[in-house]
Amino acid sequence: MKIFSKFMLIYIINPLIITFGIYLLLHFTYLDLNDQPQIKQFPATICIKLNEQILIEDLSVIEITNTKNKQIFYKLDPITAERLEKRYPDDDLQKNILKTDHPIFNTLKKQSGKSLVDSFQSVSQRVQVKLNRESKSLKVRSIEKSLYAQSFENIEYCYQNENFEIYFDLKNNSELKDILLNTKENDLTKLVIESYIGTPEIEFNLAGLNIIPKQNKHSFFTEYFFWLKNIHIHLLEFFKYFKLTVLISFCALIIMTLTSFLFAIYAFIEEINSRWDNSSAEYSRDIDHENRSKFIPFYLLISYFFIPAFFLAYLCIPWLPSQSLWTLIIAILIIAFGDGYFSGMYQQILYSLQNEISQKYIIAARAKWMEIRTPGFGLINDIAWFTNSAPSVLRHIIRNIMPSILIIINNRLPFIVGTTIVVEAIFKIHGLFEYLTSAISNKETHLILTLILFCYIFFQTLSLGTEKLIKILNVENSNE
Amino acid sequence: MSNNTEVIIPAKIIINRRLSGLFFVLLIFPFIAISINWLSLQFSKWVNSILSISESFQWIVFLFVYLTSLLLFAVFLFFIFLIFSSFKTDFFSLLKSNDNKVYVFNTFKPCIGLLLIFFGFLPVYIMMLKEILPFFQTDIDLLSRIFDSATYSAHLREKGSYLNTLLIAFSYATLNSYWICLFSVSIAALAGFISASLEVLRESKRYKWLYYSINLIIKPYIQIVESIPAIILICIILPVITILLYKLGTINTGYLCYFVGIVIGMSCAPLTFRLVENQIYINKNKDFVKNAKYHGVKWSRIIWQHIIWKNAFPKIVNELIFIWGFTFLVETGLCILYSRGNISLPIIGNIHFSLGNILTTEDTRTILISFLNTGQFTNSLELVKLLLPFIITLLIISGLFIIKAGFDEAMIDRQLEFIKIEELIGYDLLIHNYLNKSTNCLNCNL
Repeated sequence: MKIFSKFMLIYIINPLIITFGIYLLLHFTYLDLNDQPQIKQFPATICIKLNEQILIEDLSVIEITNTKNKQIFYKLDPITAERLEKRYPDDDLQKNILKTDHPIFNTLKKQSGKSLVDSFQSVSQRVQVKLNRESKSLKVRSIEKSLYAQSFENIEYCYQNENFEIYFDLKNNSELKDILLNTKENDLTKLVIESYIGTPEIEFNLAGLNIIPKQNKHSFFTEYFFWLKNIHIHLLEFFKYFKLTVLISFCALIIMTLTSFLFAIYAFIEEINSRWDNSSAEYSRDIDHENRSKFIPFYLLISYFFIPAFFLAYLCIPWLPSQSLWTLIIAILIIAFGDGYFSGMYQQILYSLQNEISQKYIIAARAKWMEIRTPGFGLINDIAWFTNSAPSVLRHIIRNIMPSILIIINNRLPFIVGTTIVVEAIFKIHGLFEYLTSAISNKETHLILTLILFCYIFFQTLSLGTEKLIKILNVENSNE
Repeated sequence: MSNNTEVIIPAKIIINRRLSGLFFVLLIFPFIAISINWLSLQFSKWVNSILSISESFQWIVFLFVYLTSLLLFAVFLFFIFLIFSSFKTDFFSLLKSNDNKVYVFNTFKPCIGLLLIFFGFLPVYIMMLKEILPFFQTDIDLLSRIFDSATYSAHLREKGSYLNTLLIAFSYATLNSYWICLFSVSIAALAGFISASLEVLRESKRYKWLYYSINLIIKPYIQIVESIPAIILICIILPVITILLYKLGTINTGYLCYFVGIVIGMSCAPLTFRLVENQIYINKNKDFVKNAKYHGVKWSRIIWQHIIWKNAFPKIVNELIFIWGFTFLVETGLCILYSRGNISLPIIGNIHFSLGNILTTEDTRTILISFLNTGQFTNSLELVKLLLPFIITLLIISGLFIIKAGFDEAMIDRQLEFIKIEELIGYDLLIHNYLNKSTNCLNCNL
């Protein structure tokens, strides 16, 4: 009954309270926001008419939307405007800001000092796409006729009007290959066009999840219960992003733990050999410098490794390989050895080992002339205590410090997940970073609630698992 | 009877407490220095207005402010000197007693860390000494635009004030990062205070209801924050705060750094809360607490004076140092997420202007990548622009973590010594062997 109530508390009651609390906060924060003019800052193509020439640049523009009369205004943000005025003090600026929905400018390159007419000539074909739902982003793969090379970068994102129509233009020397569409519900659909003649009209019938579009407004309580009802769908969607992040985090954690564990044990063996006189069981406070290994300063250097992960990630950007697997491997290594996780873990394990050496049972074992390490075997026999090799002091120590190490690992994991998100942002890995930022920037309450719910349940389950493992270990120890 | 309880506290704890005090000096000194500097400026302006000094005598005002700045800097240097002298004493005493270089080096770590932080905070002091008036009339737009190459190429270069503005920008960003850390550490310390207060309330019969009612709010909060990664939680909460600010009509980017500090502090609060809780739980069953209780010492006095102040204080300070470093990391990570994730908040411009924000500007990133690819800078100022924020951040983070590592090692070493002595006595009593040696060892160490 006690276990049942504990599980009820962790998996049902607490998540409900937490998500509802956060829902309340988010709901009342975002509630009145829609009635007020929304100000959004985004990069847009801007056409500036100077005295002699016309400039076309990607500059920062503010979009002001009045939701009552649905009027949209565009204007330069004050910093950019002032900057332009300072840059061209002699010119009269006629800031003709073209709307972002103008399809021509989506294909124009950033061409400073080039006239509009020249830029227009590079655009030849217009593609029209009709959808039955709101899209989030669109990628078009085109083939360069001259080079026969595939490129994904010709068109990325375009405007979608109220009738779910998308327009975009292709360059003169390129041909449409296929379209990648990412809808609002993160449902990625790929459509391959085999032949392309003239201006095609493509209709998408997306087979996806039955999520009611955002236009259908819910009341305060029904919105929350609607989210609860569709929680399995949301969790499935969330898991697509989370699996990569958790994979990177766990790999980094395993690498970090194993290496720090190994380094700590070797440092400890060096220390114990230099401190413990082999001819007697006495534990000396003074280190025998003659017997001390020269690798000790190396261990000390490792314990000073506090370089932030973002710093390492920035340094790695120019050498980032094109293959995604190598990017992941570099990210894992950066997370494992950045932010002081490795040095912290190394120190914690070393302290645990040093603390354990002063216990009574160790002194008794040494009094019985027990060896520090199992003679004739590798270190693995001392670490894996379930093997049948002869017992050693190190084996007893490692077995007894295991619970404390498990607690440290459990406490570190949320921090490592945080670092993973930051490294994902720098390396542009499509993990939890993408989910988190899209949820916040689009003010998607459902996505935020799913994120919090999943994180809470995941880390609570890990804590429970660790607790259970420690209990098992302690029972084994006491039995022995 | 309280005197008897004090005897049990280890003698060597003084080293850590001295360090803790100096740590707080380092943490709070910029705040005091800037306040006094500002007051001196106001005072000099007031004097100027009363005496109606003409513009040609404006240098008197500057002299006054410069002198106060220099005086404050001298006081700060004196504190730094105190730190080093205390370390020197400990260092040589340990050298004489043990002849154990590794052990001495371990205890010397906090000193190295403090030195790194001192160099990390240098821009704040440079600002006070170099450019006083622009600092007090800070134009955040101008400072943020300094990291735009167009500004360099067109506007400020002509006036020749680019380098000056760049330095002020760095100083201002360092100062803002300092505010964020100060707020974060204060909130975390407050969480520790609440935790200890709750333990006091728990034992009192009169206010036990208060303990339960506060616990009803705090425990779920701590549980939530513990089980969700800090950066995710901050990322979610911070836009909510900015929207609320927007609704209230106070769209001032200058204030936002304080809110960032508070939110990071709230996410770090469980660390100190749990630490204080654990420390009280561990020390509760120790003999000195039982003795004190038996002899009628007040429970609040036992907790505040004997457990928190005399036993758990170095550990709490250690945790606060970690939180300081962690705040730096989280703040930078947050800036990366906001800039790379293209999150648009309902306010115009940057969310806050800090070291993390400088590091994540597109301009800094472009310079870094072009430098790593070509190995060249287009102009010498790019070198300053790139290296300064990285070096400052690296120095402060490394310094803080090294202090923490040093404190940890010093505490563990001290604990080990005491355990060893106790165990040796027990062991000798058992097998009647090394009795003489252990008593000698005990005498020489205590």
